[in-house]
Amino acid sequence: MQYLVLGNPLWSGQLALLGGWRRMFWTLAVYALLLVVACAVALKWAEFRTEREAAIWVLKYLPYIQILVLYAGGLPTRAKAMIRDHTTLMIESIRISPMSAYAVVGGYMFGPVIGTLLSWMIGVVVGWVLITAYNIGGGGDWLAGNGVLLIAVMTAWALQVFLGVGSKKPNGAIIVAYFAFFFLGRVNEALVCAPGTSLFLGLHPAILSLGVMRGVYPAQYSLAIGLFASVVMTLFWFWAAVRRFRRPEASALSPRGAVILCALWALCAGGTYLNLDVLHAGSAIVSQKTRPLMGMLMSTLAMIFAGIPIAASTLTTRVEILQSQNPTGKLKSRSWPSAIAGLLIALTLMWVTTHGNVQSDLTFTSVALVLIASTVACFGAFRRSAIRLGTTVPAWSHLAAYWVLPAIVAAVWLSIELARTTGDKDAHIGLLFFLSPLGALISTWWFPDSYFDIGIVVQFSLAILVLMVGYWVERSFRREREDRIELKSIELAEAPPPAADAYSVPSNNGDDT
Amino acid sequence: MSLLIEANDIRVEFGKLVAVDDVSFTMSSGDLLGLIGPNGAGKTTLLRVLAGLQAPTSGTAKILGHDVLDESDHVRGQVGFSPDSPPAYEEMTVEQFLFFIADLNGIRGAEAHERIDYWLDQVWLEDKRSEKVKSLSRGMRQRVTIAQTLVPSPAVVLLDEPSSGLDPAGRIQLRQVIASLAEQGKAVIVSSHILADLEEFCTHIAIIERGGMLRYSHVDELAHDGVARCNYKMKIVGDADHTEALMAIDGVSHILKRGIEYVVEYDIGDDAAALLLRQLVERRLGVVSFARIKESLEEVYLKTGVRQVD
Repeated sequence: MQYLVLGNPLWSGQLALLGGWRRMFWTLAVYALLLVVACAVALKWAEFRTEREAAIWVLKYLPYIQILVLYAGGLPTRAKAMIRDHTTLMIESIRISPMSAYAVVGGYMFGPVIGTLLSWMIGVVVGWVLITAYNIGGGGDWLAGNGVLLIAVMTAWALQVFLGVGSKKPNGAIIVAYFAFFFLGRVNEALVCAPGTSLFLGLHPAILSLGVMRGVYPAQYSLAIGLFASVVMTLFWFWAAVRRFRRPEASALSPRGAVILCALWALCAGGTYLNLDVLHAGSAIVSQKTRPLMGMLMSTLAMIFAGIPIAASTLTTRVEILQSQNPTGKLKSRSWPSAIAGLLIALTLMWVTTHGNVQSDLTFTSVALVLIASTVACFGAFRRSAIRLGTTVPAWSHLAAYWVLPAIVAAVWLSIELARTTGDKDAHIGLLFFLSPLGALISTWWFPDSYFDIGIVVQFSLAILVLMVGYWVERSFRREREDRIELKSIELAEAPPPAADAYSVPSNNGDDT
Repeated sequence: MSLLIEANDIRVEFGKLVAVDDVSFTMSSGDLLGLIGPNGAGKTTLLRVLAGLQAPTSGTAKILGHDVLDESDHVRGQVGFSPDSPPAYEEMTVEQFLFFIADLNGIRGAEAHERIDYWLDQVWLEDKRSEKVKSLSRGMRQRVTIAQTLVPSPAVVLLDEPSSGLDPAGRIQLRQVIASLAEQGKAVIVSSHILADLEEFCTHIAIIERGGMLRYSHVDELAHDGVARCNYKMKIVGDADHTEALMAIDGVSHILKRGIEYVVEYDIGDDAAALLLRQLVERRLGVVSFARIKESLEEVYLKTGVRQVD
């Protein structure tokens, strides 16, 4: 934990790159001056009858500036700093230095945004001065709201560092996602369309903080869940960033960590729907406006969250196999618990999302189920290749064939049958069609209101089959290793004691010395 | 001498490309290994594995007995790595940057000042300490990188193309710096295409091609490693042609005559050389000089069958 907060070299380094304390002081002074001038202009605005009214008007918009400073100021600044460290290879110099990974992640989290944090503090002070000078009241709310905002933005910052330490282009996606959620979505829509996601990204408490700053408190449970999720997710992303910084080639999340992450997400999503008002409001919004968005998000997120634990487990296994120093070493991670966990979490998510909200719309549910099943099947297959071949790189041609080929063959066969029987109405497309996820998806559109969809059944059967194959492969691999360990121990027990000079350091350098 | 580097069956794959192919070697304190091979042979990847910046697909790398990945806490700070493209914060001055590096490595206060002054002096950057890194030439930046690598005083130093961009004087200076590192008991690996430099200061040479280590020998043994015969050069006074007399010596072959100078092929080794010399004397040939011809590193390199020479 050395240098995690104070004396962190990355802090002083970033400050030097920003021009040092002197330049930082002048930049902040200009920002503070601009804020004061803006307030002064508002206070002297002709249309306000009193200065107090003008101050209230300023305080109405100051929270947005505070959010802009932390999000629009902090995220790009850190992105720039981390991309620079990747392109100049300085991140490698930092990686081989004796600084702890915690200190490095802490350094990246706060170092590049010292100016941003100080700007935010200036905003807090200006708001506080207005509140006290004009006796507006709600000073506590102003401070509490800013505190909530700071906690919320920490989640975004930790997530950004996590993405940044492992990738040269880490930040475009996160910035777009945050801005899209923040500017395009309202609170209820964000909650309903992607339950848990806004909590997951720490965005929900950021939105709630706007109300808190003005003394308008949301339901207490909502704020509590938001803050809880934000703190937990900040710690989670921080830990994941530390892990990734130490081993960039390994999975950012351990299989256990991935399952915990998904479970947290499901928990937050479930927590969001505890309140019936939100549920009803959400249902109304979904049915009127955002049904396609709802379906798309639900399907995508369900697929991603089914895949995360399985992918983490697969990659971990690959690293374990390939880097095992001892050929008789045991495998630590197991595939099937991760696959089952991923499947269960995705199904729980489906239930949470659809329960009481969009009962009437089964199409999107079906689409999500097909995608979950095909995700599980794919990762199950990758897991098998990780154990058998030591690789998890998907063969894209195989994937394309799995998605499309069975449907095309079945459709062609049906066409031939129809032509041969001159349009026999009893001719049906075969099971082969539903073996491809594409075919299964098409079937969900053909029978949108059917509770029993053959495509879903076939896809889940296929997923279970692949998981079983993966389980058998893994079991035989483990048994093979156990046999080897047993054999090795027998050999060691039976081997004669080595001569004294047999303990020389192995070397193949051809140097007799 | 303590073992500082252990590379055991290191293999690195990038998809289907095998960048490093089951490379194993060990290095002790004071060893200075020159790594040579064509571009894309896997030299940089091997150095990155040893620095803990690249995970091997299989095999292990140990520094001071600790695995560079699994026990990185014990390794970090003990390895100095200088990549071929100098890493630096261009907006900082040379001095600011080196203080930052010292700070990263937990070196502060008077000790930091002392070390930075020493290395700025060693790499001839004393008068550039207040200039921004971005204003420096390629060679100057290379010097900054060398200073950056050595300020923390690591036990293992990995230098990837350290002399690229350096002027002749800078190269001489670098050779002295690297030789002094070995004298201090550090293990140093230098990847370079300037073979004459490596020949001068390295204790060991490794030739790498397509990820595999073709040769790994002590620099004195390299030319004769795995070879049964070598050439001897001698000067024999007198106008007569001594070729026949030389051919009469058992074991001599391939005689080349240039004036009074003869080059003959004979068995390798000190005993063989002594035997040859004794036979020359017994035949009353007026030998005024006698020496075994040592092949240059370039000749050895070309003999290994490496096609591309940079």
